[in-house]
Amino acid sequence: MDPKRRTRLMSKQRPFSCLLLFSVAAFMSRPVYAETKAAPKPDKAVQQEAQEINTLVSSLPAKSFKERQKLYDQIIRLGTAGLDALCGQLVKPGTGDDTSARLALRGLSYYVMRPGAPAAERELYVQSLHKSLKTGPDINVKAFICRELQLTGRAESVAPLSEILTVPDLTEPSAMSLLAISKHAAKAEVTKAMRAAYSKLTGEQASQQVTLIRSLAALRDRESLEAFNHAAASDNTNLRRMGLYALANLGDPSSEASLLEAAGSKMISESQRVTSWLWLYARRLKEEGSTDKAAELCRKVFETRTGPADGHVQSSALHSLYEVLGDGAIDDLLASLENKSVYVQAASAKLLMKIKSESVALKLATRLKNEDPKSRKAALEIIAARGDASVADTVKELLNDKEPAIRLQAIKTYSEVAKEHSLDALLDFVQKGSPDEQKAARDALIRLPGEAVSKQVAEKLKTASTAAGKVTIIETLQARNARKQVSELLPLASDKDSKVRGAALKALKVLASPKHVSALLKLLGDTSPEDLDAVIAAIASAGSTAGQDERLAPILEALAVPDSKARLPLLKVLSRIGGKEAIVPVLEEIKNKDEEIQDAAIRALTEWPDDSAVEPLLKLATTSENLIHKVLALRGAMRVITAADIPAETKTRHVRTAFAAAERIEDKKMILGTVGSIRHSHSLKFAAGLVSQPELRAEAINAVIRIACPQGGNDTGLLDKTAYDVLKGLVETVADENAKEKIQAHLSSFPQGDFANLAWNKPVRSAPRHQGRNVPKLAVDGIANQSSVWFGDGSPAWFEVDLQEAVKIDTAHVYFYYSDGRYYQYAIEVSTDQKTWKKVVDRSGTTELCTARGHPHRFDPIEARWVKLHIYKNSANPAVHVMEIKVYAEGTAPKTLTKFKPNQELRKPGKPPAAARKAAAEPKGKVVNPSITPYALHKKDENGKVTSGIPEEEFQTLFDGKTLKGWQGSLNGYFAEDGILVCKGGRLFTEKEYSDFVFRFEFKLPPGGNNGLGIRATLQGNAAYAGMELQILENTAEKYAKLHPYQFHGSVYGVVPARRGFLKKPGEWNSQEVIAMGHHVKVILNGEVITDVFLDKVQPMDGKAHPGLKNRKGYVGFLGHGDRIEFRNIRIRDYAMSPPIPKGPQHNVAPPGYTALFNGKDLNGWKGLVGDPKKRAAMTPEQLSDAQKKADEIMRKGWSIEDGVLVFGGKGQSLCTAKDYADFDLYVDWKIHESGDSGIYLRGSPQVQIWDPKQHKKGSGGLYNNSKNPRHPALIADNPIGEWNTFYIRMVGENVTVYLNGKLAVDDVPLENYWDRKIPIYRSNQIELQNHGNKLYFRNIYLRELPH
Amino acid sequence: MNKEQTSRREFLTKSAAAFSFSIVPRHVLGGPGHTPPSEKLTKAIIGVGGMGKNHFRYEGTKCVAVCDVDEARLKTAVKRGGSGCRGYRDFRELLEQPDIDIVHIPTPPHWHALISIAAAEAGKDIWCEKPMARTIAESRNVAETVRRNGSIFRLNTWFRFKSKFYSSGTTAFPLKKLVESGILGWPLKVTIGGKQGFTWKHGHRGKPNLPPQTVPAGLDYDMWLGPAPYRPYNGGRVHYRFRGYWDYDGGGIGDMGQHYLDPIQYILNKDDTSPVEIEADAPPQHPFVVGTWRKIWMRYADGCELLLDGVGNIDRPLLEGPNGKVWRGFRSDIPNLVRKLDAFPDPEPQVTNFTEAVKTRTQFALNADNGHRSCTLVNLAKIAIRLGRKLRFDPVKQEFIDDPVANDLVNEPMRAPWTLNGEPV
Repeated sequence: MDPKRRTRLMSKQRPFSCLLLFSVAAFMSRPVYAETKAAPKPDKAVQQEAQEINTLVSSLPAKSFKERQKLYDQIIRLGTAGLDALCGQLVKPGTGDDTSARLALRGLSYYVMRPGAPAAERELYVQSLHKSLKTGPDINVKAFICRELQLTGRAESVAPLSEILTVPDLTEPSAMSLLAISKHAAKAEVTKAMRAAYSKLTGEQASQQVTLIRSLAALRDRESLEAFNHAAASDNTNLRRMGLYALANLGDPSSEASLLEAAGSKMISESQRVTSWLWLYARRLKEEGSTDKAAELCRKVFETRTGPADGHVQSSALHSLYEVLGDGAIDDLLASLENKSVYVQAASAKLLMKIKSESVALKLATRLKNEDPKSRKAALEIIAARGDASVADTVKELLNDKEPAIRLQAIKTYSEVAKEHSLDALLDFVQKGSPDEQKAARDALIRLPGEAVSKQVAEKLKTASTAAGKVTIIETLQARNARKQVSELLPLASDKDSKVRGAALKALKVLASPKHVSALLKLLGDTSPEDLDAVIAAIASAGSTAGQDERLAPILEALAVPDSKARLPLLKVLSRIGGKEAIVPVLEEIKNKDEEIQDAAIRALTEWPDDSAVEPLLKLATTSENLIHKVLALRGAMRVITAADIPAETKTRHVRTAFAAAERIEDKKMILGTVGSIRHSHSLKFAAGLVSQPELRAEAINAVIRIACPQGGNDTGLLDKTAYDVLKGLVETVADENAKEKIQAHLSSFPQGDFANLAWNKPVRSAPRHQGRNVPKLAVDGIANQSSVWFGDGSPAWFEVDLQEAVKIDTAHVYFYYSDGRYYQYAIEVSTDQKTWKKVVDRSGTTELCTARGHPHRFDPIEARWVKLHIYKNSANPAVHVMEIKVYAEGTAPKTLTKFKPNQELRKPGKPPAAARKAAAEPKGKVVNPSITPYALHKKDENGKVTSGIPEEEFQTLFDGKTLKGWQGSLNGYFAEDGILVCKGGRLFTEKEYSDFVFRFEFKLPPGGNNGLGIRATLQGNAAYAGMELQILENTAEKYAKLHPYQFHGSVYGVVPARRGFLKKPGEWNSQEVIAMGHHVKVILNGEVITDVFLDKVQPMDGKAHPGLKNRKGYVGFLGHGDRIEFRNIRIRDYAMSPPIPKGPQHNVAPPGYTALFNGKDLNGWKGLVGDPKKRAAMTPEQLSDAQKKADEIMRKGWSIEDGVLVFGGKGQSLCTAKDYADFDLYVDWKIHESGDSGIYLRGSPQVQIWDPKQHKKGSGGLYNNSKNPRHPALIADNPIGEWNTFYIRMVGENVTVYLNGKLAVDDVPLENYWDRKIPIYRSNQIELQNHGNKLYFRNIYLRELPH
Repeated sequence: MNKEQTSRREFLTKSAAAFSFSIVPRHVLGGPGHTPPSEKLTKAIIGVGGMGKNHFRYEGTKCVAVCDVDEARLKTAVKRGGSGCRGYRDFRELLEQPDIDIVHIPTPPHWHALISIAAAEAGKDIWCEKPMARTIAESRNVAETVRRNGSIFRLNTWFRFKSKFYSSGTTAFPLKKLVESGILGWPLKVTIGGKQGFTWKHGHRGKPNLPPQTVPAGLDYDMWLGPAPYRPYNGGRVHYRFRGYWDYDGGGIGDMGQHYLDPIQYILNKDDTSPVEIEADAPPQHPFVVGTWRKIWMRYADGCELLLDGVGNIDRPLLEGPNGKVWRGFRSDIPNLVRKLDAFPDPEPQVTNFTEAVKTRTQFALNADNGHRSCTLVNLAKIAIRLGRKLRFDPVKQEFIDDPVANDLVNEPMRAPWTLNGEPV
């Protein structure tokens, strides 16, 4: 425990009485709670439940609602003990992470309140909350509990919550909870508690008073009237306002004067608030039956608050008056319509619109006769919104008002109140009114509801006297979608007024259906030329949604008339309709002898909307001898071809036909000018074929460019082999610079010269499909890099390319994603029918790493149309990533590939630049390793060389010099020779796994030699990622000039760079020592520290995932890269964790490897406590020595030895080891009495906690003084008070692991520096047994120093 | 109180009001010795941090005052406001100023209701940020106070009347017209989510277990918290990050919900009602901290359904009825839909110019009443996420049916001395 807080916490709370348990159990009916009926549980059971709670809570938040409910059910079943343990996990904010406990408690609150939950669950839960409300460690925790009680509390929670009502900072949360509880039949108790609490407060606790007044106000407690009055007179602004609010909400008539006075306050913000509460007060008065009084108040305010900025106050007074009086306020509202404030006008108007009463309409109607036009208009607007049919006649009179604005409003209002009866009047305006009135009338007409209205409107067409009137009626019918009135519209299509005709035809176009076609056709004959197009459009669109047949029949019938002139417009109609049926009569007419009609038929054909005209047009172009017809047909054909929805191949075929038919050079040019819109290799070939014709050359080149090159936007242009060949052939000969530039630009986007790759841009299939945007197509896009990859979301996977024709192939080249040193296992099959497959490549067992060059495979020529890549495994992750797959026909693969030896990585580094060479040859020791921090601590031997300092005899030899006994892995890649282990390649691992150790070995490198030392590695996977690889590399070689810093010798590969310059020359023996203790990894090369790192404090430099950094154990081994490397004197010192309970022959005799700090007889090896590490460091040696002498005296008084046990009497100071320790394993046996408290200080700092878990609900062993890191143990493992307990503590770097009585209590948690929170714990300092003012017992204190 | 300035206010409204005919010529008021009233309305901005910065640029008004509880931000904002722009630390003091016509409220959502109410009580018009309020009771109280005082209120979301309705590729107008035409039939299903063009900002997730920190100098933390429960200060709670905590907002649904749901309420003609059933598919939530969610489903009494897709994997049309569907971009399985719609009357026009609405005292298209109803959808969703079970809601009483725990969240109490008007605390 924090020594500073010692005294305060010494006054402890008694363990919770078991009486409550009984009372809770008494409520229970369900048998599941039987276990909680048992009388006080033995402590062990409580501990067990605490552990169980931990397990359950750690599963939250659950995956599903169902699972969650199940967990909550299990928690509830743990009963009081479990719930108490859960509440006990709440901590003061900033002192630990209790997220899961809070989450669980909120979940439980909801759970026990779920509809249909048994009452006993809630009661059980609430009891635990009550306890926590008493014992919670902090105000914030208690506030949290209040919030849970707000949800779950009922009458029984009133008492515990009332107790904290006056506690500063808890008033608010407890009052809120009580208010919530008051809604559930506990109003009287809550009110009483609030009153009592309020009476305890004084003026100095104003903010708490405000809270309680707020709460009593909400409860509308009449007996608090005096308190409210008192508060309302307070000088404290918040209290005064809350008092006023309370008075208003209470609605006691005696408060009116104070409220009115405050509403007129000079403090504007107060006046504003209180004014608003006046209406609340009025409402309450009304509720009490004092309607008159309430109305009086509203009127009073309305009449007195008439300032220029008080419009809104009057508005709200009116609202309240209406609330109070209802229809009784109508006269007030009407009177307010003329108020000078716009606010008031608007408010009264809006209210009048809302009031249902008939009397409003009548009273408004009288206002329509007022002199003041403003008044008339306001009344009209309100009547319109109300829709009062009863006053329609009065409104009608205003249609003739002398004020234009009134007339406009009257039109609108009249249509709203008279509905269909307003038709005549509206139509009158439509015909005779001003433009504004016409518009208003038409808008009103359009919105009049009912089908009958359309009919009546149409009727008016007969009597309408003006053209403008008719037009408006027609437009109205159109807007009303009056399909039933088409027959009335038809005659108007031949009206003598052109505007009427136009409007009618426009309306017919929208409204006519196929059945009107015949009638419309009749119009064709005698329509004036200017209307012809409109008639044709109306026929063509008549009911176009209903299919073509219905329209066609009457047209075909009409075509049968002998008068050929009458057929002319019909042909035009057909050309608008289009389709295969309509074309038949047109083709007939082409044969007509009458030139005029023949011409019309040909023109109709050229305007045909679909591709059914293509063949006839081409035929015409080929056969016609009339030049004009020929040209028309060609143009029409090209228009239809390019617009038609047919395959590009077909289009090109048609174009060729058209071209063949074209005789004049202009027509050929026209065709070339149009063909550019067909973007296909077929059309491209056609255009390219004409480049050689001098007179067409320019147009042909233009066409080629339009077809092949990108045309802006996202257009990529044509990217196939044809396009490439055409453009390549063209680029040199084109004279036009502009054209040349375009061609060159597009050529640069082709994968140059690799068109022999048959897979390029071919259709592909894959399984699984792909993730994100990484579609399969990217693996045949000609781009073999890591940003253009098919990303198959899982393996095994397959990927299939359709070469589109069977070809004899002999090479396949696969590129996998490569940059993290992975390998793929795969096979390639080919087929000609997609049914029988032949395997041409089998790499299902390879571990060859992927590279940027990919894997080329050459095989015997074989016929194939489909090429399929099966991927069995990706060594890096479960997905598959293929950058590219290329396939070549026999003998066409690029020369580089035929030279390339398959499956072998070629490395041909060029000469590195001078700067890089210089960097590689850096002088010795100059490179600073950023990972070596001031936290480093090194031991040196007599020669000044750094060493772990561990005597040689403690090491175990791993290599016997003759055989590979004790090793596993690539046993063929290594051999023993004259006491030397020689590597040829492959990976050689120890047979045993090691967690913490010191590894010593010697090695000799050839120039450029490459190997690696794997530690905590796995047998499978890449040791650099799945474990850790400490580079072994002769890195002065030129080929390594461009290495990343984290690749040099001694680096933790990819993670931490090593210092450079301490390797001996190639061919000389180096000696290296590797310390791996917990997160601490240190590499000592030839007596120099080159790497010293705490892995939990660094991020990998290469940005990749290194899950192996978290491995706690694994194999040690050599990671061969194919170079001959020699090793010797390979030995290891294993520092794995010791058993958590030591096995010594007798007390105070250390187990092997350990030293007993306490000899069982005297205090040798111990000293007294002087200050703290900070103070000691500030002392001079003399001061320290003096202080030590005094401290030792105190020590001898306080500490004694009784029968091999170190006893502290309860008075004195902590006991300290004489020596300082850095990293170590420590055993301590300890024993305390009830409420006892102590701790083990590590490196002079508090502490591994020892205390009475019954008192603190947490077990011993926690790092109690941590603030950022966890401070409590994972479990309670204490033996019953009075029995011995055993700690096994390991400390490495900052991190501490604690076993208590064989159970893991703290797992690898940093111990913070209590004395100076800004820095980490001291690297080395004394160990102390803490004095906490009570009797303590220690024995069996054993220590083993760990290498660092 | 300055009489000249306040009468200027009445003058401005009067000159364009619905019930007046005579436009007072300017020179009558602007004679010698008189300061002619500016015709430009004035505004003040309360909360000038993140979103508040954008409120300077809304046209038609002149910014005369700003307010913030963070001194540094206030200082910057006063500069940004230009000459004549005054700074206040307490909004109540700002609301006492007679020369302010419109109050903009881009504070965090837990302050929206209280400031809106105070502004209405001060006779100001209001331009409030979305979401309208933190709870159903709060926005209801705002609507009531605004109505009573005759203030003109608008929310700062535009999609009901302007702009493409988020990424749906269409404005709300043709959808409204389509629904009114009855072509799709009834009832309708609406799906909004990634595949329909909408994105929820799921990044607004808070952190549990924030350790207490020292309140930075210049920040009035107690005022920042205002009506929200007291919690120890941590920088991860305030500026920009407040959306991650239920005390102040509700994550992505709080941020984007009203943008998306307000037009839907309008399109479905639900401006005066709310759904009757709500269910959310969401992982269990922390008591204080907003987590994520997957799906939220709501149903109105007439069978119309609303599905909010927070995962982006629901491939359904934006709007679907028994007779047809409309996808994003107004694509439809009904042929010639646009042409067919031509024959139907347009929906009622909306008032979409705020300054005109203020001058003529007419309701803005998106006002406190329909804003409260669309904000209710946001708050229903939040409650459903927090409780993780299906809920039934009474849209008339505006409370949950037989569910005290859910009702506890309808009206989350305010920390004294802050209170709503007359509602049970």
